[in-house]
Formats: sequence, structure tokens, C-alpha cells
Amino acid sequence: MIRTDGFYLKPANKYTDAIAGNTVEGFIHWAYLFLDDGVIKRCRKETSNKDVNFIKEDFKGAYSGEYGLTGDVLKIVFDKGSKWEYKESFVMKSNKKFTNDDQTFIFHEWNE
Amino acid sequence: MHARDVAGWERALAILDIIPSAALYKLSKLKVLIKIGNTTIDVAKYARGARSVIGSASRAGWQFVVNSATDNRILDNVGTEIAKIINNVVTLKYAYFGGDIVAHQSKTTTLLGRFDVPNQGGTSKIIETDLYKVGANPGGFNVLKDSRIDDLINAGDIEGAWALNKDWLESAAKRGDVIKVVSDPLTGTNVFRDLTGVPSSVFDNPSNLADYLKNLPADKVDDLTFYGREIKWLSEKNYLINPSDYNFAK
Repeated sequence: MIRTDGFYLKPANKYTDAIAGNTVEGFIHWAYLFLDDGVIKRCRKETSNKDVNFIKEDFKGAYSGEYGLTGDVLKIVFDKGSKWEYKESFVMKSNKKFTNDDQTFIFHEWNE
Repeated sequence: MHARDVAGWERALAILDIIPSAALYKLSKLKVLIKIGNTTIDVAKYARGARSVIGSASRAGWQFVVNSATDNRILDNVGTEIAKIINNVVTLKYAYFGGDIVAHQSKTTTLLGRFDVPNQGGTSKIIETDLYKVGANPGGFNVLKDSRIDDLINAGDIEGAWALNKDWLESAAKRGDVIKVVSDPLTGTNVFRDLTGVPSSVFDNPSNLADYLKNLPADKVDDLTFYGREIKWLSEKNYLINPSDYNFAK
């Protein structure tokens, strides 16, 4: 069962970029929020370290898609029906964790 | 023949670099012949780009090898060839994406890419040669380097830095520069700092990449690398990377 009383977060992605020889570094965080009506919202934050928190307000106006859960298989889709439809499939390991070969998301209760 | 053999020749080229074009035209009729060993070089026949690159090499302290009047090499301080000028065409040695970089003979060749990615090169490799300018450089290379960007990044003003980057790129486009990529644009991590939500088919070909960037979801804009922003900006102006020569073209 997917939980809707908080958000699912994957590990921070450390990046290094540069412009005109100047290095820019940071951590990018992506979180998913699942709603009861089959809607999924995604939200991005960038920080200078691995620590991050998301609050309900962050997901207002966030990019939306759809999700479906069949057994322990979670399927999500953004931009459904468009040329750039983006689909992902995960296996629910528990209601606090879903994963596939590339990513693992962990549940976090609201902390605000 | 090495630098010590061509000192006079090098000085003559440096002088030519500051002679106005009309005067140069007259000079080219007169011929400026410099004899180096058994080789005679008419320095007035060097194209502007070649003279510019030679001038840059001179200032950087690199060595010259004159194989013939039409075959010159530039070596770094350990004797490794970093560029060649064959029949007035300047070629930079580049061991990464796209291979050696050939300058257009009359237009500025503007180079875009990541700055420095381990084992993948980047514009840092061109900057290390010192054989470039910032801005118009007909027959030579243009790479972004700007102390104002240094200041903005130090102050944390990413968007201010990008604005200057964009202005530089826009100037290149307006001049009609050859715009060439030196990092693989179809490698996702060159374009995005984070690939969350990006379909893998985006990187199947340059058309897909351009189309996706033109229709980029709003929450993915901040995930673009600066190189990705440059590709997006050019895509929105209907430039497309030609995979045969790695140049952007309309």
C-alpha cells in the first residue's frame, strides 16, 4: 500500500558543473507525493549538503502525473500520451520503500 | 626547427597581427619573406586566424616547428604537439569527443562543452592551450572565459553568470560563427545535472534532444548543466547538432 501521509524521497544526487572555469556543486533531491486519487506529484530541491526536508507547501503547483499500484508493482507516468511520456516501474518492498534497478525511494512523514 | 630558429619569423608575425588590413593588403603584395634554414616563409600569406593562433602561442611560450612554409606545428613546453597550421588551416589536437578540432578559415569557431569531465575532456582542454580568444576570432577559436562570471559565481549569482554566458553565445550566433560541441550532447549527464524524469529516448539523436529541450518540463530547467542550457538556447533558435561534424546548424 502506498502511503499518502508524507513523501517518498530518493538519495541526494551530488553534481559538479562548471561555467567559464568556475565549478558549481550541490545536491539535488527529488521527492514524490502520492495522492489518493491516483495523482503523483514530483518536487525538486537543491542544497549544499545531503540534508533536505519537504513540506506540503512544496508540492502545491508541483509537476503532476499518474500512478497505479497492482500487487507490489508501482507504475508511474508523467506527460502521459505526449511524445515525451515518462514511465517508471518499481517494486514496493514495504509501504515505506519502493525500488527498481536504478532508484530507491524511502518514505518520510511530514515534519513541519 | 624549433622556437630558437624562428624567433625573427615569430616577431614578424606579431607585427603583422597589429597591422590594419589595408596596410596588410599592400604588404602582401610586397611579400615579407623570412628565411629559416632552407625554408622561406612569406608571412604575409598567413591568414588572420593562423596569425592570431601563432600570436597566442607566442604569448603562451609554446614552441614552433616549421616543417615547411605551409606546415607549422605548435608544441607545448614538454614538446607535445597541441596544434598545427597546415595551408592556413588551424587544427587543435583534442583527444576526446569529436577528435581534433579544425577551425573555419574565415569564421570564428565557437566551442561549447562541459568544462572538465574525467576522461571526457571539455573546454578546459582548449583553455589549457591558450590558443583561443573570447569573442570574435576569425580563423581561430572562441571559448567562454570571463572574469565577471568568476565574480558572479563567487557571489552565488548563478542566473547572473548564465546571463553573461547566454550573451556570449548569442553574439556567436549573430556573427554566424561555426558553433561546435566538444562534449557528447547525447550523453545525458553532460546535459543534465540530474536525470530524474528524463526519458532515455531523448538521447537517441540530436533531433530528439532538441525537441525535448524545447518542451522541457518547467521543473527540469534547473537540472540542466550550463552546457545543457546552451544546447537548449540554441535548440530554441532552431539550431540542430549535425552528427557528422558536431557543429550546430540551422
